[in-house]
Amino acid sequence: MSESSTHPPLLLVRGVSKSFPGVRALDNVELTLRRGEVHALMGENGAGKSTLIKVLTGVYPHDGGTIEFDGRAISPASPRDAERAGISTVYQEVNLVPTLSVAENLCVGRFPTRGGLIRWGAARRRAETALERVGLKLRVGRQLDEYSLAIQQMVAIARALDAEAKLLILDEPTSSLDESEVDRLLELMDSLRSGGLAILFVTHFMGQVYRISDRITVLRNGAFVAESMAKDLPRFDLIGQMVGKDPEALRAREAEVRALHQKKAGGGTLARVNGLGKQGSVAPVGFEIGEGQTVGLGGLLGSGRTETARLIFGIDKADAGSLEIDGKAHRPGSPREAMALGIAMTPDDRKVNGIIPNLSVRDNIVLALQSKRGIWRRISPKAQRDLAAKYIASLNIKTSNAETPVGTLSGGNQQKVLLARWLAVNPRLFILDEPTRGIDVGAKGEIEHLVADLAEQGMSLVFISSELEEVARVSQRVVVLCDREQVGELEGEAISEHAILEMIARAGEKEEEGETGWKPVPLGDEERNERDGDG
Amino acid sequence: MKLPFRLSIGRQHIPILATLAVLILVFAFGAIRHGDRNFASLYNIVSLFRGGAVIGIAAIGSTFIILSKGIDLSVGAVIALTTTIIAVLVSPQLGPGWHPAVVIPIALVIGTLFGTAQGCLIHFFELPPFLVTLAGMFLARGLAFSVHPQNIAIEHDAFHAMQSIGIPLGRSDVPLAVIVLLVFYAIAMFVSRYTNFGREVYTIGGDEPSARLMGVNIGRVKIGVYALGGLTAALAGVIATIDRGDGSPSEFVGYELDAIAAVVIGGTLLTGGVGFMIGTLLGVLILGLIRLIIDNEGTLSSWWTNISAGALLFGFILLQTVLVRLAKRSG
Ligand SMILES: Nc1ncnc2c1ncn2[C@@H]1O[C@H](COP(=O)(O)OP(=O)(O)OP(=O)(O)O)[C@@H](O)[C@H]1O
Ligand SMILES: [Mg+2]
Repeated sequence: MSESSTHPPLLLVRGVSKSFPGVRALDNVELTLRRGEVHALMGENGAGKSTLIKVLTGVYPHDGGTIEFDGRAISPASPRDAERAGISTVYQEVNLVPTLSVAENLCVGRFPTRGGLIRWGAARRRAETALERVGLKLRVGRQLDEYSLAIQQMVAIARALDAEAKLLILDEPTSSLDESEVDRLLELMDSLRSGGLAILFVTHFMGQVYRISDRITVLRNGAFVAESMAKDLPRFDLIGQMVGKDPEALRAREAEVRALHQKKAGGGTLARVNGLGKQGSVAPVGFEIGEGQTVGLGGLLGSGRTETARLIFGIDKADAGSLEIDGKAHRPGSPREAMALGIAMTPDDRKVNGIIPNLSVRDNIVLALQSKRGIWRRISPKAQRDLAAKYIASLNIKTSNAETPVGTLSGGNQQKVLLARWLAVNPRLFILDEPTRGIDVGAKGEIEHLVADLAEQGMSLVFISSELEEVARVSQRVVVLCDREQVGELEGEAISEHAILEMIARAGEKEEEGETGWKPVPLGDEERNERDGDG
Repeated sequence: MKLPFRLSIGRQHIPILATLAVLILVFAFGAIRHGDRNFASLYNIVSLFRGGAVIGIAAIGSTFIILSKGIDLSVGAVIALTTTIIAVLVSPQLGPGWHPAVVIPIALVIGTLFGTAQGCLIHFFELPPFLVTLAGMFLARGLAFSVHPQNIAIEHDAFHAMQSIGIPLGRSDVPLAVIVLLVFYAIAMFVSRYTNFGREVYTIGGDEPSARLMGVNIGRVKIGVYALGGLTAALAGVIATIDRGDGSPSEFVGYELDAIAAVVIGGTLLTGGVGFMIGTLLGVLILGLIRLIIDNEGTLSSWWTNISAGALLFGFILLQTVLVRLAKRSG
């Protein structure tokens, strides 16, 4: 970084613009990257971060402006071009092929060949070496989709690192990683930086931004806002730049949200989870959900949070215990049954389980309501439009209009559409599984606010998030899980991130030393299975 | 426990193992039930390959296309077109009377160009393969009839010579059709496993947007598989012409569906990206065996061939669905 004055910058983006039908995604953007720095690209959902990255790497052509890389003007026509020029990218959507083997995912497009023929032995060794760099040891002959999302994410990163690159671009690489994996990745980024690699890093996790980045560039509504040294930019100022508001107002608002959530729920009990459990999924858990109460499920990735939610919503059928609603015991065997009880749930992986990318925002929003009413009682087009308009406004969904295909929205806005879909059915108990994953701070605040509003109106919520701080902030009761077992419960004043962590740590100690957390050692089949399927 | 070698059977191998199991079962059934008629004789096995040669060769292209998540409905019509073109071009009465050594390459080039054109339409205009190749089917069939509306018997020494080619094996001869079938499967297996093109077919079939982001040249691969489909259909046409000794614009109806059935029974997923070339050959053999068994039964009507093929197909599609579901759940 000290050499930045003597060396010309590695990447100079000047005046780059890009329009999609109805949206100006990038407007005169600039970005300067120096060798050996980690540069965070920040902005709200839909600010244009991913679009900028796709323009840089030739996925989209740009409408105007110049890109200078390593001293010469480039305009890559495809990701392959960009890779040849020395730009290696992990896109926001995991850009791997689930049906190929791990080794192939690492080697497609750059297989070691002799006389035009693939040398599989060399390919496997290359794959193993690439994985070692990110601390993974997998059976590279296995199909990629036999591994969990977190591992797939690490494989994508390994692939990007394996190219001989001068610039590494990571678009929200940590959204499905757990804490120790994040640590490992940040360490890796640090060592790559020392080696002179420039890294462009996009994330919505403030903590990670401040831990790793040297500089920060902020975009808002597709336009460049500012570039600053990370150490000179206090957190609230950064957020202020991202959302275009005064940092002081933001502080006040956060305090307001906190206060809202601290209000005690006055109502009676809505539901009681009585030892709901399933062999091989999660050991029986039990807790109460009050009317207008938010119950947080706290725990690390793979602790059984998602599994518990799936049992309540009937995606998996419990083989023990029951769910008591209005004094009657149920054991939902399908989401349909659960919906009939007034339960709704947003799934943790919006791409696999929720969003239908080719359908419009409106269609996606009315979907759940329509299926609840049955196909014969169609919602009139006008009612559909009203519904869509209502949620676009109240959740502040950034879309050019209600007829835009959801697939073209930014990740965070897709998440809001999913929320709207389930809010439209007006559930009594709403399970939110990672509703804030991949969502910017502004929207996170909005969603936390929304949770408070819903609770205020008497809706009960189950809230799952890997950010324990957030769980602590919105919940009036927290059920703590560890290793697929309930290890404790916190209520009211006793709730804090620290208290949750402590509970998890104590449970871990009891188990046996070193049994929780991430292991850089070989992932055998058994361990892998344990991690599979959780988000 | 440590094995001295790496035995790695992953999820992607389940369909092909199922295919192999079915083949063995069907064969064993036939061998036991019709053992008195030398069901398992070398002669019978060679004729099994011979009977499957035309569809087998055409199914090579279909396999690549289905692996890339496409479909080709023009196969049967292209075979018919090829046989007709060859018959006309070698005939001194109806055509120029050229030598087969010239005519056969021409026919192969025409087939390849036909497939390439389909591939270009699919890639550049982003048209659905189903519709493009359906149109291609009508077009090729129409062209075949416009070249000559009736069957043309071929009287050419070179054809007689090719018909009598055979590698002696035991007490029977392995005919040209079977040699070509095996050679081309060997090549196709090699291409699908050891070339960049082959692996890229699997890549775009598995997830096309990701493939693009991984730097795969989508256009080249897509047009490539349809060109290959045209080539193997034309080659199947050449083999059919030699075997039957005529050009027949109205024959080979529904061969594209037999080819697709062989591909699916061979364990290739219709959803693209998963499957093995050898599986298709096994699929062809399974279909042939079923036919053979039912012929041997004597009392059963030949419709039973279709019924059992249908049941088998259904079973495999069910298996695929289950596997895809499983993959979704853990992925
Ligand atoms: N292919 C597309 N077609 C039309 N509009 C698009 C397309 N891709 C992105 N957009 C629009 O461009 C804008 C910027 O989107 P982009 O994905 O770059 O946001 P982002 O900053 O990456 O947000 P997030 O943090 O949610 O990922 C959004 O308004 C989005 O709807
Ligand atoms: Mg993005």
